[in-house]
Amino acid sequence: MILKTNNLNLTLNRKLILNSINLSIENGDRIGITGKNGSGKTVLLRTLAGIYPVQKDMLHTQIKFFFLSTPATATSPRLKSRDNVKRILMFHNQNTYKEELFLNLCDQFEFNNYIDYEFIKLSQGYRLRLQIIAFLLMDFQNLLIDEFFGFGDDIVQDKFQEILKDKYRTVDSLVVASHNQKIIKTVCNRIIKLDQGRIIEDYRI
Amino acid sequence: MKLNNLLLIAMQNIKIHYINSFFGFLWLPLSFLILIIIKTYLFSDILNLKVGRYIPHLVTGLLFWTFLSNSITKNLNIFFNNNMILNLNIKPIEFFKISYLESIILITLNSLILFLFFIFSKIEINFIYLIIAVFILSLFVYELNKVMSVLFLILRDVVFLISSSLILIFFLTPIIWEPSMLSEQNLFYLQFNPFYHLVEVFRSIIYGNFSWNIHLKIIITIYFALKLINFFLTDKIVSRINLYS
Repeated sequence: MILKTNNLNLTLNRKLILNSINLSIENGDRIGITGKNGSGKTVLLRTLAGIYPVQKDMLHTQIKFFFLSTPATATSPRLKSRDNVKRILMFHNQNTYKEELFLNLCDQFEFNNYIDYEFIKLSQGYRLRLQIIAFLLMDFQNLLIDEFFGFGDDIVQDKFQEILKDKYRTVDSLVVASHNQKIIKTVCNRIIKLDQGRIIEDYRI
Repeated sequence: MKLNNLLLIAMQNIKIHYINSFFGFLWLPLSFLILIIIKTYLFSDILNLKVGRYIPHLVTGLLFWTFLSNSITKNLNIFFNNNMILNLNIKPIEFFKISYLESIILITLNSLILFLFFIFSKIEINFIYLIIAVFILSLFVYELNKVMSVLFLILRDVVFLISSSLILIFFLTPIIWEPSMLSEQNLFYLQFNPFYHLVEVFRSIIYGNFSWNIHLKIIITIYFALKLINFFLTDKIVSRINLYS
């Protein structure tokens, strides 16, 4: 067992956000967390990642999850794309940058013309591509992803899923919070549904 | 987070600050050089002081002050306005360390400028003593900044007071003036300024006049008090900062 929660409760700003969460994650789990906005998906992932500290008896884990939310928060508006990718990797404590792989990914995501662009000059679509490229350069064994897949055009989504299928096979466990049903059905083998901070459904598919 | 990553991010942050400028990060030491040249000749003329004695006093004071004020100012919103804290799985204290490393880079470059300035002005200086002084100062300022960064988060009004407070502290501390200029009564009040003792310890190490005196005793006492506050209080608050973000 990689992780287990025991009646996990979390209060933020005097409001109970997570309520009696009992969850266990095993090696090989590919969990999709769904629920409407405000159900507690992001807070749950942040708690599992250790961003929100909880009492020791509520959360038991032997490993550290890699948490991916919005890599763009690590970027700097005036840095060029290559430097921003390196910056994203540094902020995620990853020393996995490889020039050859970076150029390969730029080619696959039609990003070659934007390598020397400052982040501030990129469109939203190309900013997402930059984040995807940075993500695909990362190395992790246990991954938590928060709403990272929800954007981008069909070409980007399809290309992303194609590359992800290989990458997901190598991770020990994966937890994805997303509204994107296509991604959830493609990647996950277990669905957890949240409502008002509680788990209301938990089943394998 | 690995130290080399923290350092690379700190260096990149400095680079970003000076992006698209001709001299780039060299503005850091250049600004200090311009500052000491202007203040050296301006104040030695205005205050009519013996230049040979006054210049080391002023320049060491300015090195001390630029580091102290820069590191405090950088920490004003390090935990408050930082949207990376919740989106990246990095401990909040790492952001403080990155910010502090930027200040360390600043004082390192400024120390080189000071050393070269002294050599050029034919003022005796021992580079090893300078390194030791900077090292001891940085240890103290690290603990002080840790306490202040949490204070800035909890008591937001302090942030808005700090800019005027720093100006006041600058003039109340013998950075550009010498304690010998004060009357006996004012000299007595000066004893209550902890930065006075800190700058005196800093200068005494650089000059090689280091001794177990009242300044050192006070600074050591304050340092260990800050260490205890950080151990029992600050570190615990910082580890739970995400709950209050």
